[in-house]
Amino acid sequence: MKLALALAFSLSVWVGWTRYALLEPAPIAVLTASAPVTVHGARFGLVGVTTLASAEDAVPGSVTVRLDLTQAGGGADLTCSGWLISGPDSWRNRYSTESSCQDQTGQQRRLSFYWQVPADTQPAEFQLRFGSERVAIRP
Amino acid sequence: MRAVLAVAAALAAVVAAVVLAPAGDIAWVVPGADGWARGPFAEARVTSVQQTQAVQSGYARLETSQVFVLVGLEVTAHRQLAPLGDISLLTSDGHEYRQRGELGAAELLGVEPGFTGSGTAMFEVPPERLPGARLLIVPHQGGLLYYRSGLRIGLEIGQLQAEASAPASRTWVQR
Repeated sequence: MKLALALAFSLSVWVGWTRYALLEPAPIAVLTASAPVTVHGARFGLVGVTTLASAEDAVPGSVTVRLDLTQAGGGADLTCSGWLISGPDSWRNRYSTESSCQDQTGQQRRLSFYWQVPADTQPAEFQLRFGSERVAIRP
Repeated sequence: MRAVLAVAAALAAVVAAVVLAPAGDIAWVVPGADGWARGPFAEARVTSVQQTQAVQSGYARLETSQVFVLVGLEVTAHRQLAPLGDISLLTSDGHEYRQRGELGAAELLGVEPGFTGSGTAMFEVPPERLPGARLLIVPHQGGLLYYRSGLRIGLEIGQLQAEASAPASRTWVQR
């Protein structure tokens, strides 16, 4: 009987956890132009956001959005992804100048993320995601 | 004896949850009058269905003693990237066929919000199983016990063609 109860309890916990994992986690920090943040030993600063005309091979009617950050520290094992948020929609970065926030040198460097989005997209927020942890970036 | 039965019942419940949940918890959306199936994570419509025994794809020519079914489709995504690797053809007698992967540039791999993509999915199917076949798209890859939704679109399959080709996939801004 105890084993049955343990199994039932474990199943309940597991079901609850899988549903909890679907919820959007709140950001652990907010990065603005005047407020750098430090996450996992890496200090990030916001440089700015630029909208660029897309390259010739890009989808007509789209633009490229570039987010420039600075990063100092964090180590070679730090990985991240960049996200652009607009209303209910979100796009993961197509590429970045320095992949995955990995810091090989220990020196401050420029970190740029790029997205291709429809031209009328109004970015409300950007995010750096470190696994399930998120840093909100509000230019 | 009672404890043994309780343990057996609990184990059976766990096994049932693991085995049955992935297929059973998909909420299927079917097309409306305009042909678009509008799910919470993506919308799709079938634009063409061809059956043939030979396909010209890039530099390769594929042949079969069964039939290839080429399904042209358009897809838009909501919220975030809709990866489209999970497209299958379900026959009326319950057999499910995965895409053949040789179409290359004609395949539609994924669509991001605000964009519409077109492409072709190819299946190899015994011809006697084609009547009543449906296309299944599961753009949201939730895990076990997660909410999952899928698009289910009936296929009106035309006459057998000697040979067919699939145009390259393309993407455009939806709005």
